[in-house]
Amino acid sequence: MSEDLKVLEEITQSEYKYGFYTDIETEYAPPGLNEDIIRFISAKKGEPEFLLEWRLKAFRNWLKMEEPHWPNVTYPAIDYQKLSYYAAPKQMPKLNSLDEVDPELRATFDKLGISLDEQKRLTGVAVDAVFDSVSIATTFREKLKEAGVIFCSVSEAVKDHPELVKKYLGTVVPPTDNYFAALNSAVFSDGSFVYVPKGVRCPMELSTYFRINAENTGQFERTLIIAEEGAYVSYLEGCTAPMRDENQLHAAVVEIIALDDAEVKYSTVQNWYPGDKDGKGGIYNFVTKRGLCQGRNSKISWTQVETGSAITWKYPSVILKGDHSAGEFYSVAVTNNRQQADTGTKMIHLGKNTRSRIVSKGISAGFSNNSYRGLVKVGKNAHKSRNYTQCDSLLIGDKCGAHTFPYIEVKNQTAQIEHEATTSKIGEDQIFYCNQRGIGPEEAVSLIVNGYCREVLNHLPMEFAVEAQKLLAVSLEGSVG
Amino acid sequence: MNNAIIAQDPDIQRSLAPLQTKREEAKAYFEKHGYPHSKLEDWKYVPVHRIIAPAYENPAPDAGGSVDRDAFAAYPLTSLDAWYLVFVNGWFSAELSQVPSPEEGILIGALSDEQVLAQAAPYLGNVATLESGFVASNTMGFTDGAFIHTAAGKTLDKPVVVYHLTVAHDAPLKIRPRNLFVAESNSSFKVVEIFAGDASREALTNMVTELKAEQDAVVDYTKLQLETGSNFHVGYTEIEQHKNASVDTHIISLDGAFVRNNLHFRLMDKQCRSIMNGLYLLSGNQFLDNHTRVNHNSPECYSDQLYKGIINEQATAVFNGKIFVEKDAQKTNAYQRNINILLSDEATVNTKPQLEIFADDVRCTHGATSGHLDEEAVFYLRSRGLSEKDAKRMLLRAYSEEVIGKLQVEELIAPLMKIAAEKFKD
Repeated sequence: MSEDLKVLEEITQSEYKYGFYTDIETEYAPPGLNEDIIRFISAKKGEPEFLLEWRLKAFRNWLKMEEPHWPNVTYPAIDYQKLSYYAAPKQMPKLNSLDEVDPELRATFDKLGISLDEQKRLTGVAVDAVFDSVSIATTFREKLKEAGVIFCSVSEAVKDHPELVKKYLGTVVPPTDNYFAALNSAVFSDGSFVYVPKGVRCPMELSTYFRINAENTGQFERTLIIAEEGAYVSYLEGCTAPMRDENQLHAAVVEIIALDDAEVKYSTVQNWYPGDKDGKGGIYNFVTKRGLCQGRNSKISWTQVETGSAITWKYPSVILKGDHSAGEFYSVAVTNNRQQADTGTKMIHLGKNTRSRIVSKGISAGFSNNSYRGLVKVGKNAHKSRNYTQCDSLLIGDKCGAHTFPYIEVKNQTAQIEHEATTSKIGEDQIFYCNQRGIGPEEAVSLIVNGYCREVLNHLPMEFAVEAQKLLAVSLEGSVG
Repeated sequence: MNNAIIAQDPDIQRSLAPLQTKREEAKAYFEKHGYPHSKLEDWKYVPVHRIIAPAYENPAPDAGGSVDRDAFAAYPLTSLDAWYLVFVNGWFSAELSQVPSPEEGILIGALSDEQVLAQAAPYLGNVATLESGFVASNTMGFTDGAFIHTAAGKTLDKPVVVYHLTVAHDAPLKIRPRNLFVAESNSSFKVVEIFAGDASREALTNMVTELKAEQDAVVDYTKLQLETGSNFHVGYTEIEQHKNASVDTHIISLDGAFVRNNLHFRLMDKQCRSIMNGLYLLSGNQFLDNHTRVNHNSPECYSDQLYKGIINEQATAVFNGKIFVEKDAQKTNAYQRNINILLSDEATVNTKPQLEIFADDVRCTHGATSGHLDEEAVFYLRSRGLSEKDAKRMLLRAYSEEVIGKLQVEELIAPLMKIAAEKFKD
């Protein structure tokens, strides 16, 4: 077992690869949160009156709300007045082409492996990069325009398509939904906006990259995806942050609306800075993600690979309102060192013949705690709805914890709900089998973990699947249970 | 309690001192927290306000004698081949009870007897923790209850039936029985708690049963809920097991307007075996909530849990099963299954099988399903000439039998299957 311990030690000491900080002149809002700050953010972004009012209403609501403490995580109290709610790289003239982007910034994104123009040329993925809450550049806009797809930052959408924003913003996650959603509604700075018109299949995968750079800021993006009748879009999201000793707050909101026969596929590879091995620093990732299958036959699918963040607290959900609609949730959550994750999903079946499928794989190592918390709710009118849930946990070491909190609420007799969960460690016999065939213990674990997560990774788009596999390998390099 | 007699005997008084402290602690707890409410995670879905609202009266000690033998015989399962301890509205009835003649090492009695209470006092309140207002209320105000104690190596020849009869016609009643079962090392007994009665007014049974199984002890515990009318039931069954002890529990809920069962296991030493079987058949406006919790505090223990339910009409069932596996509890095997069948569109089931695991070398699984009767199975039976009604009835019977058939007091199986079948007559 001494070798196992050594390998475990190695992972606990493996450094965070994206921990660099880019020295870019940044414009901050003074720290603190009040109505003036919200007015400042709104004015800075030249927003129309309705949005300012909407923000202020959310803020007034937020003041009346209490921070929730029911998740299975512990952290020191957050001082919301100490944070700065707006940080943007200075000099933000309207960019006409990528060449005008600050070279420092370009270099940062290159380091992150998303060289904007390379992506453009090689992969054909359209990227919207969000740096400290402000959208820097969106590639491939022209090509998307031809297809009729709108892919831009939310602030641009507010200016160019206010009628769409007004119609859909806050319809899936209302500003009063929860504490962090209310905070986000009040101070959100930017995010991505996607609109796919009727019958259009988005010609390429859309991608956003989030980066928190500045110190003492919170990042509050807001993503809004609308798929009209018969439309299809696949959307990817990736995130990193520099290494800092303080904890940083990330409270995003994602809303998806799928109309009749539309399909939206949302994939996340989340790799925020998880803090060092003693649990110092790291990102608090408190995110509200929800999709609404409004139309018949619509489908929303969430796929997530969660390896970063000191604390993850998110439940991508689907409201299955349209008849015959479908929701899917595939998740791999890896926690190591002192990371804490409380994640899962909610599937709300309202329409007839609605189907949902949940596959959640948790891996905990070190001193971490990993919780799955899910809700499957079947309403009175959701005849013949169907849910299948599988959540498995893998424990590596005896200092970590795995928790499962599945809530199942059924009000319809024709609904069929299945839930199963297992918790175990990597079998010694499995490792032995590999060793016997000349595969070293490290590779054996990686092989087994990859096999264990395969069901989820298979649902990621190709480019992301490769990245996710590498991430998994880094996070759990050689851990032998 | 007859304070005058206790005051006379200094020995009894001394042994009752710890109980007095427990009662004061419970009182302090209750004054601070009161009854639980549905904002608490453990009481989510439970309309507690419904059962604490009535202005309850506490039944007087003479309630024990208010039912005679003939009246008692009309209630179900009153003539099994077993020892009987009968409590009417929470008070012992010597007339209806039947206990074995005193024998060295075996004690079966009622806590209202000061001699018995004095022997039980050192154990009372050590297994049940003050974790809700209901436990506190019971601890500070329990009236009477059964005490079974088997010394090392002793085995009881017949099962003990602890019969709780609730008769409430004049005023709403709050009934607080307290049972204590102790099996010393290598001893064994079977105990059946039966709750039955007849209540035209609200009657709240707030009971706590503590069971301690020492090393190598074997205990079989059955709880049958056959209460009718406006009977509310909040029960705690708290079990502590020591090395290699084996405890089987069967919780069968067939009636009662409002039922909340808490079943808690604490596995304190290696190689314990804990079995939980549960069955609930609900109809009308019944509300039932089964909470189970197994604390695997030690390595190499085994727990297996199977709860099945059929929910008809406007009834609501809640299931919450928790398995905690502590850091040191390596090589734990813990299984949990909850299966529900809904027979009506107004029926509701809320289930939450929960695992919290801190040890890595374990095998824990849980599963929960909710659905309707297998249409193919119904079709198969119909194609062989059974009516749809008969086919469904047969399937439901088979479904219930999986749990009822596991009862170790075999005499109970046939009458219970009959009561279960009655529930699905139409």
